[in-house]
Amino acid sequence: MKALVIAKGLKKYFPVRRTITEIMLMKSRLYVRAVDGVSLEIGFGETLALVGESGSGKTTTGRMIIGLEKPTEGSILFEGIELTKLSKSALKRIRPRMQMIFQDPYASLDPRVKVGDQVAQPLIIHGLCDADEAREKALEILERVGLTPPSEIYERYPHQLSGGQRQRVVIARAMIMRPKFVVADEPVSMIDVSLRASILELLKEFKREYSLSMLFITHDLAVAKLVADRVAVMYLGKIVEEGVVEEVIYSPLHPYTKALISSVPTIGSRVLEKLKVTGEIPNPINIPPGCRFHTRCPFVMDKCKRLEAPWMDISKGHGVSCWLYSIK
Amino acid sequence: MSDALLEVINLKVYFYTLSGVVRAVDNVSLNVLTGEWISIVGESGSGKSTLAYAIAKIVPPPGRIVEGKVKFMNKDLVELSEEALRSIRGRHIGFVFQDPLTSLDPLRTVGDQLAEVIQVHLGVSKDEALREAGELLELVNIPRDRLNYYPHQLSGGQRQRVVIAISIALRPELLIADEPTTALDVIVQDQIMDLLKEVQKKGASIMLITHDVALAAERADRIAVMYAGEIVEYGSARSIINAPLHPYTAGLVDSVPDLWSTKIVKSIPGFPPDLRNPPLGCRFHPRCKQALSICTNESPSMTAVEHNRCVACWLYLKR
Repeated sequence: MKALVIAKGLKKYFPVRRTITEIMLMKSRLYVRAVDGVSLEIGFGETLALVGESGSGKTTTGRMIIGLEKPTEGSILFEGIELTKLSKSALKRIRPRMQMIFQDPYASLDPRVKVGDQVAQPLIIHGLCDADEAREKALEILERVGLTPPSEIYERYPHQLSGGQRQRVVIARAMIMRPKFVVADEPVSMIDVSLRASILELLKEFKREYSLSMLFITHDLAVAKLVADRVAVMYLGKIVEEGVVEEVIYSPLHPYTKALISSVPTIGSRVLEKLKVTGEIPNPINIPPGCRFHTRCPFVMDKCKRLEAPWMDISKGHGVSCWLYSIK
Repeated sequence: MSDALLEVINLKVYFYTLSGVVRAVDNVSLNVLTGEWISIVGESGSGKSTLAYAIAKIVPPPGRIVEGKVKFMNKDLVELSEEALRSIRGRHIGFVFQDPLTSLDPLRTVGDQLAEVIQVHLGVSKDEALREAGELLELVNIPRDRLNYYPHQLSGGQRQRVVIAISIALRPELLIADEPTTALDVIVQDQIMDLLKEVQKKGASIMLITHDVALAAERADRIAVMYAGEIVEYGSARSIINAPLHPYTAGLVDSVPDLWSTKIVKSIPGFPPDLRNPPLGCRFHPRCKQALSICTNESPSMTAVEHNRCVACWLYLKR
């Protein structure tokens, strides 16, 4: 087994609701092609950052991999087991080993349950220990995520905690299961700027301690650089470039990646020249033919408008899908 | 560009909520020079948006301007009547808000909304206003034929461009942009910032309100840093970033992951105070590593340390 998670050819099409007139006129159903053929691998103890703008399909990809969304097409292997073919009960048995951390620490906690009980709950649901033991473990992990004194925090309700503290509770709830794999969907985008680094640091510590594999979904390349080993850049439902973090950021290949990097504001000094592109990400109902990015690409060629570029490995572990890098 | 276009003097804006008085803006003084870009940086709850609203006197209830002056074009806006203010808002002070969808009327075309502003304030005919509206759209890089579009037919970035077109239609001297790009992606954010720069080049002053230090610094002339309802430091964008004086500013600069810098990222310990009951003395002292004993009971006043560089911190005050 070479990787913990192997996803191949993942697709997710959401049907668009038709109006009654459209049905009577027998207009064909339209689909939002949110994810349109994504393949990725996450090694043991590795963090892969999935970076893209809103609407690029990064969240849907994460939800499919963790089994919250059924793919329209494609396969997901977790520890060598095909997840897409599992029954609900079989999936529940695997669940403790994979956890998700959501963006919104306000929405992902139950306002009427003490935070300590929410942290202990997964252990009880999966029948891993009795209530007293679960409480002990919850207190331990609350302390571990920096919520002290844990016995006091345990009794609080979510509204009595700040956003940063809530996100620590959410992390504790995920980590109490000692998972092998975590999907973190924009875990810091709703946290105060001055506190973000500490949350990221906490995730990195757990990664080391539990030799966690992580899929880290973010729109912020600078955050990706801080936490990830590799980064995959998504555009309109496809991965356009993937590689080791430093390589992708300091020697990007795809024009979209270049534009994305150019537009990240910085207080440091840029090494790469800025690449400006016009327009915005097109509607995923009407994906442009050929290369998806050709409508905005400053280097567009005739071929790009007709044919999608194949995946090309340019150097070890750095690949791109762009005609500029094809041999002829 | 040395004369002040706007002068905020000892401004206090409090929110009278059921659970207590929230001192959102507490004794803030600030000036905006003609033709400059000033960015106000702060975390959520620091009072930066409330400050912006107070300048145009549009603080939503239960908020109220308690004290202070907002001097703009030789008038104190705090004292002006609603009617007099109406001829200043839009005409002399333009506003761009966070969410372009809520700033636009979903039931009217973009052209209609643009033309209305021109018609009402300048008293020209509808045709003439529409012609000018078309020109404005082109100025913000939207094809003229989009005049007949409704807001929902435009993308997020285009909507924000329309909002900017409306806010600059009357060539205001001051354009206040409150987190104008938080709802947008980075590439579009960069385009919008370029557009604001164009507006500045045409002579307007820009006040950008943001939580993003890098965004605040990139195109700005000056930066003011807000913490817990107070301005703690201001100075040129370069000096604030490269040589921050206030421990909070330094901590903020260090806490932001940055693509092009190799510095170690670290958070500021603790969290911002509850503004119903802010700490005594310097409001940052519970989180400050360099806090002195005086910081816990006496609040430092804003002091000039060099030309155009002010800081409110006991470390730099001679007692």
